Amino acid sequence: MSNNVVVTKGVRAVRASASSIPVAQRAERIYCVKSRVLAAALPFALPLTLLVLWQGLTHSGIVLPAILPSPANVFRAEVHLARTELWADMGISARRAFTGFLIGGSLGFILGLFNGLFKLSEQIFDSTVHAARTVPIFALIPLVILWFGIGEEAKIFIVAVGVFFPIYLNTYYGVRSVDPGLIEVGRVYGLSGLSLFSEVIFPGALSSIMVGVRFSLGVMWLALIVAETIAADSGIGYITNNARESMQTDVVIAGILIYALLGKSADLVSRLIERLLLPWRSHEAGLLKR
Amino acid sequence: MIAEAYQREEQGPVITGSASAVSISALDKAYGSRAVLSGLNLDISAGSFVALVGESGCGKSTLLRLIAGLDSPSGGVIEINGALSRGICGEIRMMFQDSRLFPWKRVDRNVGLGLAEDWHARATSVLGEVGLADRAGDWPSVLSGGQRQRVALARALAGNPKILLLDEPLGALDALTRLDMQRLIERVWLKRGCTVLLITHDVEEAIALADRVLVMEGGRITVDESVTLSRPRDRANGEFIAQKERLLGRLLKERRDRHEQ
Ligand SMILES: Nc1ncnc2c1ncn2[C@@H]1O[C@H](COP(=O)(O)OP(=O)(O)OP(=O)(O)O)[C@@H](O)[C@H]1O
Ligand SMILES: [Mg+2]
Repeated sequence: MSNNVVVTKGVRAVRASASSIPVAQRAERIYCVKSRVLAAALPFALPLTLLVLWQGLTHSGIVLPAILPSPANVFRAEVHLARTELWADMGISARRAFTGFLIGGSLGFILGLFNGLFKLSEQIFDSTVHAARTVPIFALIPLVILWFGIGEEAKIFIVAVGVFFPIYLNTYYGVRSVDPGLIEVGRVYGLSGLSLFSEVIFPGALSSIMVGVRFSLGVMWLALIVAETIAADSGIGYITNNARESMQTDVVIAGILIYALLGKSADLVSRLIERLLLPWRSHEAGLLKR
Repeated sequence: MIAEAYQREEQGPVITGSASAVSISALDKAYGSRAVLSGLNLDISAGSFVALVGESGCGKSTLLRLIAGLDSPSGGVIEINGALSRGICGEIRMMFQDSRLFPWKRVDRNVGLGLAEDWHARATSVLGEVGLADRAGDWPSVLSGGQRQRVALARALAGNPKILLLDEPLGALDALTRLDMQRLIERVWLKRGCTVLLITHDVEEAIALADRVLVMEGGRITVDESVTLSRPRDRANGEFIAQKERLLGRLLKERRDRHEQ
């Protein structure tokens, strides 16, 4: 019991009412608070454990620094990078990622909308798009290098192609799966054309579109990393690849961690946008959790 | 307010009963080779409350969709307020068994759907009429099933339609909520004097609310009975029960006949 109290310390609601409620209910509430604290801490448990394990393995000399440098060394490499080329390269990578994302994403979005809305457009484009989707984007890299060399266009092109498909598919299916009953209501209440689209079809498709956006953010980093590793003279992929050639494992790992950081931030931003655009959704989710 | 409304009813309907709100002749509707409506005739006078019952799948919703202009007939004529129906029009509003509220619009915006700049004032006033003024800012997902149907009713009323088409709006509600909603619908109708066409599976509901009960079979109207009981109607009243039993008997007999064929 005593450690439960420690866990619940600082949670006002529980402390204030603890004395007046029956024991069973109290235990349940404490359990509830405990599980909430646990839920907040749990996502950090694995990274921390890995970090400790990592430090242990490298410090004790079981793993050689050339294979896996210690966290401290990686941190030092990170600091060194931050003092020198990191910011410029991070900016270059981020700019490539988002330019590609904007181009591929808007094309996918527009084509998805048209094919979802108009039969003719669907008949013309849909089966070809599905055929093109089966080509792995990295199979395009040799062709892209032949076309663009290792210039900016090459990386942006690869990212745009990778991002296009998830956004296209989810926009298309989102528009297609809008409840026909709601469209009917919209029509009876005098909506048509643009007003029907903006008030019923687009909001109805939006949650599916956002799934596409989040998925395509993953693809965006993946495509960028591959493109930068194979054909680049700047960017984080270039830094890590360069470091590999001079056997700087700590820099390689530092680069990988930066990718993880960038990817995670993009995901957080998209979640935030989702919460802003789909307020009724986050409300539903909140109800389920409670 | 209810008493006042009833009083008004005794003095005669707000809109005179002579004009037709809906006039249908020789209406056909087929989906592919399956005929759903065939040679259906129906005349509904303005300001009246008509209930439509019939077996599942007999074409009641199809008829309503045609009147609402959501679909076009395969043959025949539909006139709304004396003019040939040309698809969807602002004088007709429809309500469905599932509330069909937009999850991404708060309650007041759902109610104000399709209205002009004054949507907010009108939404607030009809929400008051259905007793949900305090829920204007909520998301539909937090409302109960009965409250959602009230909001759907408010949405149907917000544009002051002359004709209200109700497609089994109370089908999914529990018995008590249903009674509440029936009273609400009757009150709204008495107050506004609009024309109501209500589809229901419940013969008692039909007799409790309507001036006229129609039975639909084989793609046309086969029974057309007036209900002359005074309002508010007492469901324990002998005449009420007799009329209900007669209609039920009729429906059962039709079903038996069909199964014997
Ligand atoms: N869009 C459509 N395409 C093909 N058939 C349809 C379509 N809409 C309705 N039908 C058919 O028309 C018939 C009548 O359907 P309708 O929905 O009007 O029945 P209903 O009387 O409203 O039944 P319920 O009481 O169960 O709601 C059914 O057999 C149905 O399958
Ligand atoms: Mg129906």
